[in-house]
Amino acid sequence: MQSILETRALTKRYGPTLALNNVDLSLPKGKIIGLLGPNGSGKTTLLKIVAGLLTPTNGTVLVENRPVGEDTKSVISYLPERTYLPDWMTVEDCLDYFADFYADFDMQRAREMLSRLNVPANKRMKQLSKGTREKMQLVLVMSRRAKLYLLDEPIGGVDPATRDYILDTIIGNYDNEATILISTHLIADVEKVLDEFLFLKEGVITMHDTTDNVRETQGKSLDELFREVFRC
Amino acid sequence: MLGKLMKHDFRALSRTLFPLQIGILGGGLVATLLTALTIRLGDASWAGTNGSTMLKGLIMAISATMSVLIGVAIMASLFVTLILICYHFYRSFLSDEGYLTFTLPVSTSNLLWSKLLTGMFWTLINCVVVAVTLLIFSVFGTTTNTLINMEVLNAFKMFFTVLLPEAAEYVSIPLVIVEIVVVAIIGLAAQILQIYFAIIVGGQVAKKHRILAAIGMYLLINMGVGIISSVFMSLVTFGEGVSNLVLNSAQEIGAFMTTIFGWYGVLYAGLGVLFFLVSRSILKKNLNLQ
Repeated sequence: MQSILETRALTKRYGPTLALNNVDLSLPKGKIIGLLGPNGSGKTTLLKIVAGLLTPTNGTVLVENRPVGEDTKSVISYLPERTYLPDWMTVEDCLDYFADFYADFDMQRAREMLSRLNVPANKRMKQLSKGTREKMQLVLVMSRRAKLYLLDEPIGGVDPATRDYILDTIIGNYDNEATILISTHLIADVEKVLDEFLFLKEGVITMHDTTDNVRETQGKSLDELFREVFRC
Repeated sequence: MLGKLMKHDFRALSRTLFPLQIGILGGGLVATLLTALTIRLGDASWAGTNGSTMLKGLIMAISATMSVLIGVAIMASLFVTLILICYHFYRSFLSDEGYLTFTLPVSTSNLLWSKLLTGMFWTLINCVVVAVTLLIFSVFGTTTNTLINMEVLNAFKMFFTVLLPEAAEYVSIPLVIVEIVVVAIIGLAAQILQIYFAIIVGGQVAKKHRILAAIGMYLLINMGVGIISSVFMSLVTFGEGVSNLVLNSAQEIGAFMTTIFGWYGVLYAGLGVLFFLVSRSILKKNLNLQ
């Protein structure tokens, strides 16, 4: 199967700390993959390197066989774990911004999602609550018809009802050819939508399997397996 | 993509810089009125009571103080404009907004070009607004008994009808004007790129207090630029034969100055290209957004 993302001997060091240690990875197209691991395991670092926000210390990253750059950024839709939209921008300004730069941005889909999530179009970012700003960012990211979605804690800051809507949106809107790499602590919530998962521990991929395989061979849910593997 | 980047950078900068320019013009008009009032009160031969003389003195003092303060604020706006342009650069590249900026499918060169061109545009607009404000002030705010100060207008007239034609006998005026404009624009670009470069390097060396680090870097880089400029211009002037050159006529002095000014343009262009390339290289090869 053709891969959307490949990393070879990917290493990232912050001073004396090794955040990623020789990560070799190959992710297929058309799958929803969970990037799971405890705090500080290197999940955000991996996503930021693929998104082009961090420079790896060693190793290579290929998205559709191309190194990270202008081309790969046009097919990656990245949701960081922080709010990054300028305070002064209105919701409409943000839509205009994404429509200008991303050819795959679907304005109609964005408006529908905003309306469903009750995000007011004329408000500035600074007038929105943190949770609503996070919803706004998720709408922008999921309204693109990208080939690789990188979602860093997309449901961490929202209430359970919205969480369900967001997960439904993620499943319902993404193209069958697209891959979603989703990093989260809320494994029980996302487990039902994941095709595959990666366990990341201290910068090393310790497990990469399908969720079906875990259920069939080990008779456990992913949440149970996670608690077992990462028990403190 | 450069056009789209510039559109959004222009929109972001306009939020603060457009009201600032309106404020400069408004402040300039108020200063003009207050100064005109002060001059007229000072000139008028009031034969009033002690009370009215005191009131007149008080109004004059307040008007004069306000005029000076507004004048200082207008001149400071040149600095404020530059600070706001640099702060926009800092936020776009080094704060959380960097997550938006650096995930756009655009080249690093275009990101820098957009910031440079919009920064230069607003600096030039600010210079024009300040110049127009000062012109309004000098023409309407410095006369005692007429609306317009004819002396100022005559000075301008004399500059264009007497001084320029006289200077034209020694130097080519169109050439000098083109040279001044080109060197000023290149110098402005080099200056803005130097500040951007300092911000980028400051962001690389410091994890906290990045603005302070950028200011420190700017001062350090400025020292380096000073040394490079001194060495370069010394070499150039000796190359032009200044040590054994005897400038006998005004034509010779004019030609010499024109050549030296041109070399300043070359120096600024070189520095600007250097800052641009090194900034681009750092952002492409060593971007580590926190």
